[in-house]
Amino acid sequence: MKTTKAVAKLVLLLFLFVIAHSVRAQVPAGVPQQNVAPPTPIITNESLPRGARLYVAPIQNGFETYIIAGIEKKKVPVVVVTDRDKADYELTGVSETDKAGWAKMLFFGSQQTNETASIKVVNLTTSNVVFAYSVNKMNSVRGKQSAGEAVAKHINEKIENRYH
Amino acid sequence: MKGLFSMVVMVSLFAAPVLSEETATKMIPAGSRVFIAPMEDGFHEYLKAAFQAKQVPLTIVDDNKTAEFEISGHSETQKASTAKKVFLWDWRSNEQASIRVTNVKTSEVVFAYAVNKVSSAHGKKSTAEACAKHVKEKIESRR
Repeated sequence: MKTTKAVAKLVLLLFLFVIAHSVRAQVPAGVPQQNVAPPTPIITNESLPRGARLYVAPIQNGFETYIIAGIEKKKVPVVVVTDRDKADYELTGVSETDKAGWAKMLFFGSQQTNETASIKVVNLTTSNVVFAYSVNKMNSVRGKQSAGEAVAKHINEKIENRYH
Repeated sequence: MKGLFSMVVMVSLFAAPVLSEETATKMIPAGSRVFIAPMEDGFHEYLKAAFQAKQVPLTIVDDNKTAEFEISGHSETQKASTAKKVFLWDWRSNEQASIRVTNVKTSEVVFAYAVNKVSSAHGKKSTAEACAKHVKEKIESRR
């Protein structure tokens, strides 16, 4: 009986030793744990001020010009610049267009496109993302123009602090 | 009362030049020299023709170094597919275009416009003329 208990203790100790060794092996040697930087916030609550100088980076299929046109139409209070060095903020994003297929034309009589776009606005001084937004328009009435105006509308809401 | 009046006068005296400067930077004065940058499918050529047709009061130059403003943009044509021709009996293309006018000196975008025409009556010509019409309106608004 005593022998069984001793063997059980030995097995337990051996098991703990193996676990401890494997954990130590996973930590790279020579890298002190204190050097691991605390996670920085990716999206901040920082506001987007009126009159900010915004650079709109090129996006696929020239979507950046539709965003700029949307900013103009929705009277968003920012100054759009074409030189990144003169900007306070940068807008980048992606855009995709899905054209109407023959089935959509035959069964729904619709030739409108589906539009998807996603953007983010980065503060160039702090590199913080101050705003991000994505839009998906099924049967977009005015194609990229509609998506561009939706983006502009939400940037305006962000500036006016009406964004949820 | 006098103090308040003098304060209002002082504020208006200082604010007026700032405001006028702000509106001035967003203005496209008539007769400005404009360079139209090359665009997809030669849309810039249609734009030049449209400026002519709509009598837009701008001078178009071929050298961007001598220009005060630059027009750049994007144009896309979706030709009528067989399905559209067969099922909708429609041969016309769908057109969309977007332009922006940039002040070369300040790099600020002073005007931008986007147009989308489903079954465009005259293809690219229609979208280019829509752009030209709105540029002309911008010049005439003097804002």
